[in-house]
Amino acid sequence: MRDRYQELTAKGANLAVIAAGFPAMAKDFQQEYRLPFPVLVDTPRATYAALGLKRASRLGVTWTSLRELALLRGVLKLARHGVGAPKAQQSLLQLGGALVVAPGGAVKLVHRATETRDNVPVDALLEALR
Amino acid sequence: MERVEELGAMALRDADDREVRLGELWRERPAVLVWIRHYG
Repeated sequence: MRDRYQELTAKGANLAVIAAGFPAMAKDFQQEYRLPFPVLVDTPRATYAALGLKRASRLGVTWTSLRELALLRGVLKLARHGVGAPKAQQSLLQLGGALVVAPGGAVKLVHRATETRDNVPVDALLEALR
Repeated sequence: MERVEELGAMALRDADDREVRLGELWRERPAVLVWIRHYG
C-alpha cells in the first residue's frame, strides 16, 4: 500500500493502517517502513471486532509466522519496547482486513482475511474508490 | 453496511498519541482503512 500511496490519494482518499499495540510501536512501525499515512492503535482490538475480522487457527499462524520470521521480529520489538504490556494487546491469531468507505459512510468494499497471508490487493482498493 | 456507523463512532490513538475518530476519515473524503495483524 505504501508503494501505491499516491495512486490511492490521487482518488482523494484518506488512508490509515490499524494494528493492536501502543503508540510507540505504531511510531516505530511508521518510521521503519516510512509510511506517509497514519498508523492507528487499537489496543483492545475493538475495531477488529466491530468489523467482524476473524482469527486464524493456531497451527496455521505458527507455521506462517515461523516461515516469515515474524515471531523473531516480534520478540525483538518486545525486547525494545518492554516485555509485558503488549501481551494482552496483540494476538498472533488475529487476522486483518480492509474497508473502503465513501464520503458520508457508504461502504464500498469490505475485506475480511481468511488466513494470515490474505491481503487485499491494492487494485481492489483502487477499484472501490472509483 | 451496518457496522460502519459503529466504527465511525470509535476513536483510536495515532503514532503521536493523538485521538483520531474514524468517522472523520470519511466525513468529506473516501477512506481506505487497512487492519494488519501486527506491526512489522
